[in-house]
Amino acid sequence: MDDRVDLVPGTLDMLVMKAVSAEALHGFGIARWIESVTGDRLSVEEGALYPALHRMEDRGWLTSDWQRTDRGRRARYYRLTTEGARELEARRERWEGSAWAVRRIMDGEV
Amino acid sequence: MELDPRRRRIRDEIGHHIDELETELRAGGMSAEDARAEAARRFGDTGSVERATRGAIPTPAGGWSRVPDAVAQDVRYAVRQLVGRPLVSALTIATIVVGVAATVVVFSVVHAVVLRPLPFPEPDRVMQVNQTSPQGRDYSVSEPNFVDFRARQGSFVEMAAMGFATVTLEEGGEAVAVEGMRVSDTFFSLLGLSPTVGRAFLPEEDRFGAATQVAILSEAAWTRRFGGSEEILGRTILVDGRALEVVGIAPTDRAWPGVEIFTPLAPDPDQYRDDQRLMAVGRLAPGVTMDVAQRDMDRIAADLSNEYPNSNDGWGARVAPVRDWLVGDRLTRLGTLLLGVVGVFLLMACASVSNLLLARASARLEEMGVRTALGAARRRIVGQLVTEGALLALVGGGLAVALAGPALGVVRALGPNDVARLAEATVDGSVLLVATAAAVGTVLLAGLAPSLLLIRRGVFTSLRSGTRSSSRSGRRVRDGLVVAQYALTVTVLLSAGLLTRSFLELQSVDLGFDPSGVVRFAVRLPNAAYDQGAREDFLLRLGAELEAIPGVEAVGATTASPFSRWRPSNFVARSDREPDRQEDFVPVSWRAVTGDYFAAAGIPLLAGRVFGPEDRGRRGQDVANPPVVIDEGLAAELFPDGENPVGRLVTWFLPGGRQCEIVGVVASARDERMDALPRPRIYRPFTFSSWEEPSVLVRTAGDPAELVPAIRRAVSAVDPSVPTIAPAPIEDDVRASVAWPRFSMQVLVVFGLIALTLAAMGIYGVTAFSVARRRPEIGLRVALGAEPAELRWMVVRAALRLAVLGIAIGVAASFAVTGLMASILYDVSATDPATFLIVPGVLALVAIASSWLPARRALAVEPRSALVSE
Repeated sequence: MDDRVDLVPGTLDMLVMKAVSAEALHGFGIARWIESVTGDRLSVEEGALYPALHRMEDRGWLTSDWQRTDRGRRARYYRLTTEGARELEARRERWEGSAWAVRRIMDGEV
Repeated sequence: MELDPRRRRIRDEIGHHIDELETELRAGGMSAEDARAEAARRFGDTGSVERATRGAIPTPAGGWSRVPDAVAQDVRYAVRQLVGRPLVSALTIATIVVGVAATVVVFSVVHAVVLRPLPFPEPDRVMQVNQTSPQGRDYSVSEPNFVDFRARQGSFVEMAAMGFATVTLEEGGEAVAVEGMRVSDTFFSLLGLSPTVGRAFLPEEDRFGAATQVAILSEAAWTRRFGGSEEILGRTILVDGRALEVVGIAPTDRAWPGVEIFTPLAPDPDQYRDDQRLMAVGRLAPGVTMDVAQRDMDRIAADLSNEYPNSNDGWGARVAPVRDWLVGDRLTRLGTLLLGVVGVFLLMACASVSNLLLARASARLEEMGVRTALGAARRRIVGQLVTEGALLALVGGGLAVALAGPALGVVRALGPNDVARLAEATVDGSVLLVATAAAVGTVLLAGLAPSLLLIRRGVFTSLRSGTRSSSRSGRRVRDGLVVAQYALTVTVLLSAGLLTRSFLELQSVDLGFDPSGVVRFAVRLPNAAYDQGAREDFLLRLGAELEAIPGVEAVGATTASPFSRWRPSNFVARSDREPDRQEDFVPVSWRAVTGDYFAAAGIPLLAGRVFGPEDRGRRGQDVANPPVVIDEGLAAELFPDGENPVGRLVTWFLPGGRQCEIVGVVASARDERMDALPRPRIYRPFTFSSWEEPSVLVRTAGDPAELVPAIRRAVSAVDPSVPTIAPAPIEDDVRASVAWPRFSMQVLVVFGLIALTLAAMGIYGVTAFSVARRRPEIGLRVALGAEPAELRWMVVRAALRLAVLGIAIGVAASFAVTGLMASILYDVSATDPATFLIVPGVLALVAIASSWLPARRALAVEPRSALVSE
């Protein structure tokens, strides 16, 4: 029953930004959100997630602060900035272009 | 262990993550212990995650401290880029080098000759004062008039006058001719050239008949002839046979290069007032404008007119900046033209470099797109382009400056040497500044298009939809650049074409005399030892010596040899229709010559006779109607009805002046300026006027240059104390008289050819690019059986469209620009139809030729491979 999928290279940033676009999430929450939305078929490596979060915050696409979780634990919560929202939009557009192209080619008759 | 905040934050985040995992596992029913172990296992190596996270941001501080690192990386990348595409890089750099080196060379020449401030303090306050004839022409000032101008003026701090003369300096028993200047006592202080050693002339030394015999040396003469020792002060030197005490050394070499000895002017108040030989200058008094000085001089000239009607009637004065005299209007125009052309040329180079960078950029679009997608910051991409541009500017500019030195040497060697200040053209600070500005400007301007293209569109479109749309906008920019290149090339080539036509016209001008096989030299026979009769005797003996040399055909003497800087003028009128006022006389150029001068110069006699022994007389001895010879120009002016002038009388200089009998008519000789019709000319016998430095012309059947040693021997055989001054073939003088037209033509032709090459390269590149882009389409057409000729024409037509558009724009612009050239063109209209037809035609042919190659290659496309490559 292994219907797990691999992360398409270059899309992690976009997925992470999408994850935090509605509400602030901590790293674990982001990973869980992505898994749950894909029905556990796509999982995110921690070794890639945290570097990506820090890098995107450095770029100014994300911002973060310490908050208490529901259970009262201290966690770092990430949110999308306005610039991040623009970047997310640009990447979504680009992705859709590529995806359309790939699908178009693969659906075409040979 | 104290952790920095970032590290602690990463650890806290990792810790929280594992915590959450553990909680989840326990909620799933795992024991606390198992859950902890499982969470740790699933998370993996915390250390490596921590390191990776820390490494995601290069250094914690961010911002500017990262810049050096980034720059180093950019430089490495840029070098890789340049080295990786050696052909494109070499072309780009070569274009920058040529553009910048040309700018540097032309700028340093124009700077030295035209732009550089005159070597005096506050040069704008130094004015030149000329006398103006009743006809409004400018003349120098006569000695008595200068004395009066200087004594009566109220608008200058001081006035000074100078007269040029070659003097004979006797050194160790040998006589050498050196350039000298007679100057007022005020000359040095007025121009700010006060002696650095010793003193200037004293007012009493500048008085006519002063007993003191003094001289001042230029610094160059002092160093070269006297070893730069201060012991020279107080020593005497033998100048024109007089012992003069050296009283000072003056820094005059920049202002008057070549002038070595200065002596007091001591103007003679009783000299002829119409013998205008002095250059008069004055420094404006504080608060006085040029207009005020002009009115002051007008007043004095009017007074002199009344006081000396015989000589000064109707004569005025003109005040003008001394710059106009030292630089000259034509030089200024030529300089401006050259600077303009080099500016256009630099723009061409910009367009070429831009085009080459764009070609490279198109090839790199994809790669750049990938880089942005990978998250390369936009400013890093700009940084990359800037770095590459800076590298190009550095390499290109550096090479250009290195090349400019030798190139300037070539220009100095080949360029006109009559403009002494050309020798001053060097690569100095201000020239380097121009070079830097040119190089940086070129790369900035040239880099602008690719940068905009890459940043605005390329990066965002290339990933979305491949490279198609971005290369389309790139192509439009490149097309525009090619159009601009052709427009600029047309303007440069049209200017070059006009100057070439003009120069060829000049070359084919009928001089009216025959310079081939003629050597000229001067002999200095100072007034102290010779009167004009004694001079003629000397010249007769010299003539006999020279005619004994095998091959010598004729020897003649004149007061001013062809194309010398002396262009004496006077006025004549028909005696039977003598006007009442001098202003209605005919202005003429005149020479005093020996009878054999016409044969020596090769000026054909048209009617009557030339001077003979029967005309020989002593100066001061009255002959009823002294003989004169006129040229056909003056004959036509005086006798428009075609009457025979021989035997008729003309009045010299003034109403009531001496009446002279015309004994002969000769052809008009263009011996003052090649690019202007000769002024009407009158010849008087050699003994007419006193002239210390007559010129001798020797016509030989052999090589004139080989005659020089024999000439020197002949001169010293007649009088060992007389130096032979500057012997040279007259053909050299003829060449030198068109040195500037030739120089500017050569410069423009070189620029034009390089511009043509750049334009050809531009259209070749664009065509090759578009052929590559249209490969599938062309392949398809070939597969469908299109005619090869039709396909070739399709490709060529696209290139030709750009060229024709550029040519049309350039021609339209040229009509505006070449009008400015009218004054330096000889016998060619600024809108010369031939030039305006040929140049665009040649350019169109070049466009066809340079698009033909890629067009042929397009047809070589294998239909299948073209289709598959899509």
